[in-house]
Amino acid sequence: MVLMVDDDPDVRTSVARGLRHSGFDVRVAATGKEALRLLSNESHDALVLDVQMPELDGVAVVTALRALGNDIPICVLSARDTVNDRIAGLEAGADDYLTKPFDLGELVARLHALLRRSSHSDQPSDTMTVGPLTIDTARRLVFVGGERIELTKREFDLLAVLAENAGVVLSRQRLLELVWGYDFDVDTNVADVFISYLRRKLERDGVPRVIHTVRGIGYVLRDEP
Amino acid sequence: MNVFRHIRSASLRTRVAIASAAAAAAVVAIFTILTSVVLANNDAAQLDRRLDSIVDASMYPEQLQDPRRGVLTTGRSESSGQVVFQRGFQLPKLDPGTATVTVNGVEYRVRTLPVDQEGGVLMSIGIRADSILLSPARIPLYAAVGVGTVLLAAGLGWLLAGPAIRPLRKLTEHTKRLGQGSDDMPEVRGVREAEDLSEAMTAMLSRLAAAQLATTNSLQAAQDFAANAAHELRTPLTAMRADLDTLRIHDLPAEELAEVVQDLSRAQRRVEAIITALGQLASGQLAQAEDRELIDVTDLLDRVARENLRPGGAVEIVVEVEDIGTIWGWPGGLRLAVDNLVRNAITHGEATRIVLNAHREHGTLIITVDDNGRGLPADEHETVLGRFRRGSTAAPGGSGLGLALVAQQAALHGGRIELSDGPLGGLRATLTVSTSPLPPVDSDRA
Repeated sequence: MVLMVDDDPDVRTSVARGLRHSGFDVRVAATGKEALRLLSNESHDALVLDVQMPELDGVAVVTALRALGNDIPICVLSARDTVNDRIAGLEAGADDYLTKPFDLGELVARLHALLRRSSHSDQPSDTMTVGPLTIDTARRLVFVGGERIELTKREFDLLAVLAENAGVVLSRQRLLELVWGYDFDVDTNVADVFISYLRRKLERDGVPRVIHTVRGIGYVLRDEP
Repeated sequence: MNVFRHIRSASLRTRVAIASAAAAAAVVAIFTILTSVVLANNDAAQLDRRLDSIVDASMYPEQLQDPRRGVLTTGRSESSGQVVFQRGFQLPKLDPGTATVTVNGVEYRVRTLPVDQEGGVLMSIGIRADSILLSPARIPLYAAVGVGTVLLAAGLGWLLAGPAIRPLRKLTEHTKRLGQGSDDMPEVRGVREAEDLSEAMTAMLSRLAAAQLATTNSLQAAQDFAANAAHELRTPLTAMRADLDTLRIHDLPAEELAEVVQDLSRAQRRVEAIITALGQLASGQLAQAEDRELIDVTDLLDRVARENLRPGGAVEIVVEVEDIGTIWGWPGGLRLAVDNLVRNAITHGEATRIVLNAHREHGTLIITVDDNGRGLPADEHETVLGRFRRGSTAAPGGSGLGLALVAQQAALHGGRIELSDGPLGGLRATLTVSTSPLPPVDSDRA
């Protein structure tokens, strides 16, 4: 069951109808408050959330859900129209974003993948160390130079995938497949956005870069530059 | 210090005049002292000469003296003109009286008088007459003194003019420093012209700063507005895109197809309404004072009422004004404002009865639009006037700009718009406009 939250009745109706015709069981909510109420009453499988809403906005809803330990896959509908990696909602813990107006098929494909992805967790339980970085996959903790770093679920998954493949260059497509389950052609820079979030968090106190860009190919996690 | 500010400073002309007077006075003083010394020396020299002559004549009458300093004496027989005696150079024959003659290239002042001796003798006595001061030998000295005086006067003028124009130089320095870190103009005191100039420049700078701030603010406002407008347009476009994708991907039954198409056309109308409202906002912003006309208010209300009647008489619109006269304003803008209020009552208030009224009060004309619709929560009476703000009870499909347009027109007409709970159970909109024939100051226009 998917919950669609948007304050605009036209958008709510049309997107929910499109999702319904694509085979989803859809509920709708007009406000952040209503969404949180519905989510606490009944378990949903995914959330499509407008970022810009009066009163309790999308970011607040994501923050509240993640603080409650709810790791439901969330796709935010962003009003992003500038060249800026900071997408409201993603930093708070949402999994993906789409810019309005978006292709319905794109949303459907991503929701399917996110739903598949959340149903199983296939990460091996062990501790990996790369340079100053220590990743405890069992407890989902990350330390840089012994200091704990707070990561959102999707940021952790991305870092874990990079660490498992330390020294191996992973293309964006491969990262989208391994971390988001997008095994189809997808037009998004969500991987790059999350890489920039990870770098910002890992390199906070002058820690040297461990996630390197391989131009034209993708990203690689390794100790030496 | 405040006391000094009220005393007017001397003008630059006065300061320069004082400076040149001081320079001239100094030169004249020096020159006077110099001249006095020279004249005193000259007097002493002349006295010495006279003493020399007297000493020569009385002490050594028989000796032949240095002819250059001595006294020349020549005696001639009155009858024959023969020289009877002579001391020093011979003087020429002269008539009794005083004359100046040149002997051996030296000027002598000679007095000739008859003496009763040896049958009448004309005695000529001469002393040197060439001036000590006015000798050609001194011309270079005098020329040098003249040139020196001119140079001295120029130098003094240069030195004294410096302080006289110092405030101007300060002003120049301040001006040069402007834009290189410091943006304020320190006050310059001392010269009236410089003070005036400094004040004028300070005023100009503050005007420039204000203009720059206004530009920055309006740029910021325009940016925010553009972002808002883009977001507002993107919302119905999102719905349209989803509907189009649904139509494209799925084969819908006829009933649902009709519903999707209906939603599509509503979203399309919404885009259109937003674009229309954006255009109206822009033209409100560009309203020119010379486009104002006399507006017959009763006529305007009648027209709005007539145009908003729905087929079948679902809405009753009453104009309760007999003849309120005319006011100056932008006819299209004012009609748009009243029209938006009536439309809001029908669309968002779902009113069935709307009453338009108008009365004059203290130089203003007050138009009220009352409806029996579902009203608006009191805490939204203010907020819905903002751009892209919709009431919580608003029907879908609005542009979010209707009341913002009313507010803009109200401000343009020197008035305001207020919403309150109305006597008919719905909302009351009170549109106040100025009746002044003069165009209102458009400070509220944003």
